[in-house]
Amino acid sequence: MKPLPESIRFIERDWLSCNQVLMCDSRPAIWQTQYRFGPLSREAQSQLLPSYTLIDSGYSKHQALTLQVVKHWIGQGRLSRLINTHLHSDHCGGNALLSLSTGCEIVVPQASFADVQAWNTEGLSYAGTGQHCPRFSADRALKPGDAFNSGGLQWQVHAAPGHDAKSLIFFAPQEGLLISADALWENGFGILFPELVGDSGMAEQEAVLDLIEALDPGLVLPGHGGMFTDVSAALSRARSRLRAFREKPDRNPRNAIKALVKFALLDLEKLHIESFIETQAKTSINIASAKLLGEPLPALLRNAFVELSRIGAVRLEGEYALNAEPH
Amino acid sequence: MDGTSKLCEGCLRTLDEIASWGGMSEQEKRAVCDQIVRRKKALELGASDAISEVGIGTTNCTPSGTREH
Repeated sequence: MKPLPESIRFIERDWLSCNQVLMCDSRPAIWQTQYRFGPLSREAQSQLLPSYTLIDSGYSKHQALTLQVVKHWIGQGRLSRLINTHLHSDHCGGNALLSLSTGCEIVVPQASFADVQAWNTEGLSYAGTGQHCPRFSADRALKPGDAFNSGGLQWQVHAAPGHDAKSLIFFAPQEGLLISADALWENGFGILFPELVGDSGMAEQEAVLDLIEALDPGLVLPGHGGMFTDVSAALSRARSRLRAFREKPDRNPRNAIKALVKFALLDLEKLHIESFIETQAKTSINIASAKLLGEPLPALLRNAFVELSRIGAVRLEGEYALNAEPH
Repeated sequence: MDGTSKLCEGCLRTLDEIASWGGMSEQEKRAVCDQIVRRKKALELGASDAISEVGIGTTNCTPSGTREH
């Protein structure tokens, strides 16, 4: 596998927190200190330290760890910028803490900018999924067609609707590097949320896979799971998944309900099943999924627990469900 | 992260292992997993001294990363 450039770190997390990509944007200008007498002011010192850009910030539950890991890599350097691929809670849950503790500017997709500034939790999906995200505010926005420099590379900004209509992905042609967010993982892609609420997502997802094929990246840094180089194999797995969704339209909404239950288990670790179902049954994305399936939501949610327990992804103990990992 | 052991309570990796996991080779990841098994045993024995013996705080066996609760 071609190694990542020295200026880039891929921080692989899990299924509750997305991965991060940390890029060093400038080297310390040590030469500036060589012919200088007397101590440097604090401000001058900070100018001499390297600055960094972080892509995505994980889920709020892990925010302290995210900050620790970032500090681990940047040392005395400063985080100057945090760019989000999209604003699902598992991609920007660390934004508030990182911006507060490092003073970094927050850059979000242009299409979500107004929702962030107004903190529209339905538009940002937190209300619809029953997930949490500490409030933050955005300083700038990026839109498809833009470009930015980071890690010594120029990154193109591409639209990646499908999983999220407003999502962006970033491509550095010079190194053939793709930051693919939830548009392409080594094995699949994220839930097609727009489809659940009656919008189109499958055609968009197909177009995104075509776009990625055309970009022809040599190394993909996905939003979840490890980085990978065999992009054509990943694309063909993604396409066959998409084909299965087309053939069995039940699959995406059923997966979505189950995935949101598993997400809640990863977040809460232990929950009271009936109370959870009562709360979850009021959330718009679950309601929309049940409507698509034409089945009552509480029964679908109960069934999700049963199916997850069958594969060892939850342990059911009386009225409670405990998170578990399949072996 | 646990304050005493300096390990993630969920995955029993050090901060360094968590930070570097994404860039590790399969071999390096396997070495960390072996460490985790040893740490788990040491923790089950309730032997915090044993933890330092099995390598917590050392950085020669890089990062980690998938589950941290």
